[in-house]
Amino acid sequence: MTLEWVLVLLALVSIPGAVVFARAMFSHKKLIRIFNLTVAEYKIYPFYNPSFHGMIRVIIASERGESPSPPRSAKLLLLMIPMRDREHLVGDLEETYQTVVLPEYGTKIARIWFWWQAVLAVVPFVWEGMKRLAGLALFLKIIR
Amino acid sequence: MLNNRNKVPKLEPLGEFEALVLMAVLRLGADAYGMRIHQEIEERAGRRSSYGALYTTLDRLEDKGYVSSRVGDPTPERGGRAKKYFKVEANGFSALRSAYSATIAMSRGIEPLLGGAV
Repeated sequence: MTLEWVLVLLALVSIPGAVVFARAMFSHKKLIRIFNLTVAEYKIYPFYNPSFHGMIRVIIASERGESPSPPRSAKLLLLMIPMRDREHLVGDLEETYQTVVLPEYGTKIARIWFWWQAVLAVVPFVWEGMKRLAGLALFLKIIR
Repeated sequence: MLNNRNKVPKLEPLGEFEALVLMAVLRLGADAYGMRIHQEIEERAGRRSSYGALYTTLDRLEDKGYVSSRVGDPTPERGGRAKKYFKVEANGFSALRSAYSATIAMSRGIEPLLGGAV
C-alpha cells in the first residue's frame, strides 16, 4: 500500500518535470533560458566557461532584439579624435568590446564600458589640443 | 674634432609611460598593435590606461622617431577597421637602453630600502 502511494507520488512529480524538461530541450528559446539561468548563477555553477556562456549571452541579446554592436552615439563622440588615430583607435575599442567585454559581461555592461572608454579616449586628445591652443595664445601674446 | 654634421642627435629622455609603451612594443614584436599593447601593459605592469592616452603616447614616440608604424589589414571583429602595427626604431632602442641603465644605476645600493624589489 505504501509502495503504491510512493509510486503514484513519484509519477505525479516526475511526469510534469519530464514534460518541462523535454519542452525545454526541444524548444530553442527555452534551452537558452536554461542557459541564461546558469549564466546568472555562474559563481556557484561549477562548469562556468566564460567564452561559451558569453556566446550564449550574445545569442540571448540578439533573441531579445538587442544589438551586439557598440552604441552609435558613443561612436559620434569618437569623431573628436584626430583622423591620424581615429580608425585604429575605434577599431581597437571595437575589437576589445566584441572579443573581451561583450562575451564576458553581456550587452548592458559592455555598452556602458564602451561609452566610458569613448569618453576616456577623447580626453587626452582634447587636452593635447587645449595645450596647443594655449601655446599658440601665448605665442601670439609674445609677438604682439 | 667633430663637426655639427657628425654629431649624434641628443635623445629626449623617456617618460615612465613612454618607457612602458616602448617595452610593450618590443615584447610583442610583429603583433604590436593598439589593443595588444594596451593588454600587455595592463597584464604585465598592472597599469590601467585609456586608449586615448596610449595613442597620444604612441604619436609622440613616432614624432620623436622612436617607433614607426604600418597599417595592417581590416578585420571583421574591428568593424572592418585596419590595425596599426608599431615597431621600435634604432633611436627608440637607444632611448630605452639609456632609460634602463639610468634606472639600474640609480637603484644600485638602495635595494634593501625598497625591500629587495629591484
